[in-house]
Amino acid sequence: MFRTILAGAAAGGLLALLLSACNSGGGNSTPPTTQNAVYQQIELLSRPAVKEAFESFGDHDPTNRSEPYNDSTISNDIVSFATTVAGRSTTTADALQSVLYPNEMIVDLSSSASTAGYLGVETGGKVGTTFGGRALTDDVIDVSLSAIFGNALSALGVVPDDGKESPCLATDNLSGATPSYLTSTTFPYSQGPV
Amino acid sequence: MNAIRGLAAFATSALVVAAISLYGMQAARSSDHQDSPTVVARPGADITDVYAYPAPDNANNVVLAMDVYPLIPGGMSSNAQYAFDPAVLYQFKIANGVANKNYNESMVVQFSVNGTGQSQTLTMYGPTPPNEVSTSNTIVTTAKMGSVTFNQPATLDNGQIQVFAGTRRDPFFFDLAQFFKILPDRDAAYHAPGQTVPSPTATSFNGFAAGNPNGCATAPAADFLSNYNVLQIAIELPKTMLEPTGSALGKIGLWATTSTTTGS
Repeated sequence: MFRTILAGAAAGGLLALLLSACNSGGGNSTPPTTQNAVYQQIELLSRPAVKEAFESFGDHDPTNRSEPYNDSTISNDIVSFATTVAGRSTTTADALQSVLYPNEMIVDLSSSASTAGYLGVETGGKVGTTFGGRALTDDVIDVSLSAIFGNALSALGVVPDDGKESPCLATDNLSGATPSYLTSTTFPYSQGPV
Repeated sequence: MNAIRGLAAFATSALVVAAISLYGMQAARSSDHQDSPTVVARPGADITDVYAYPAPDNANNVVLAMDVYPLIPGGMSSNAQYAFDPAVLYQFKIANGVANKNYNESMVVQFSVNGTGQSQTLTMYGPTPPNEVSTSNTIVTTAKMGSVTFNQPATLDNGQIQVFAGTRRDPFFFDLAQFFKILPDRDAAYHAPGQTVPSPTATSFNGFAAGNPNGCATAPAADFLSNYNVLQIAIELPKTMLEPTGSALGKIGLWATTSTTTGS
């Protein structure tokens, strides 16, 4: 984590250091958004469930402060959680890592698909749609749980069946098709507050 | 289940109140923050979910959305505290080179926040190449696109871009309560000062059929988020605007970030 912060500071350069010094001199706990300020990343999210499923709580902060393509914490945690906690084969764990790292959600803007479909690009269209991305109604939890704890990867022919599934953890038995409150027909297409 | 939900001290609205109180305490003693997760203390910077999908009304457009500020209780979304954080820079980051395994960000869309409470406005910058390829960023002031008022959808760039920033029902669905029984480490409440993480109290999700051969739990599954709201930043814009000028449409990597000048 310190390495990440230092790297960020180095990339920001002297300007960052100078502005940082100015800000700290101001003494305000919540400085206003100003246009010449240098902002340090404190949170990152791309694919749902990856941090929360694979990383111990203490590893969230380093990932939140990292670039999604330069994050050995999440890359290593995917394999270690899959092999130790979930008890999967190394082959299955490596397959999960290859799909989920770098920690970026892939969207194919050239796709003519009319809907998104989570992990569609990463899996070559074996799940989701060729657009990829994530729709409001995508059951991202079951996609994730079935890959981590179930037989989703072997069923798709990505890896051989390791025989180490945990069927009671492979779905939360909720479906995005069930709630009618996920979408609306007009921008921004989500529902107003309850 | 997004990663951040684990950081967000979930479970009950009482915990949200606790988090807000914690934020107040931190503001009062800002040097003492060692065990308080950054985004629990700053819920307006706590990203819960990111979405990207083709626009339902226009095949040439794409919609990007990020949700922040988890667990706004039902019936309370008009409370002034549920607003974007003026200390935070909100960004969508896009890597245009992923087809060639270049995952570096090459386009950004940035939002800065002007004012507090639900009369605030957000100013949008981009899509534009970033000033820095880094977790340390400045606003691309030359790419200022325009502003949107909280809860009032706006059109920018001669009608090419729609933008919204305000309260929405949380579209995420998950049996989070059962997940925390299976993996209690992920519950931020157990990482508060003086707390310890208990042993798991469940080894199965709920909702399985009675008599299932694996002995999985048969109690009803429950969507923990069904009566909660979030704050959402959503944009609809031509797909071509997410590619560098003159580039053909292709595969992009997408993520969202929040940043502050203090890093806390």
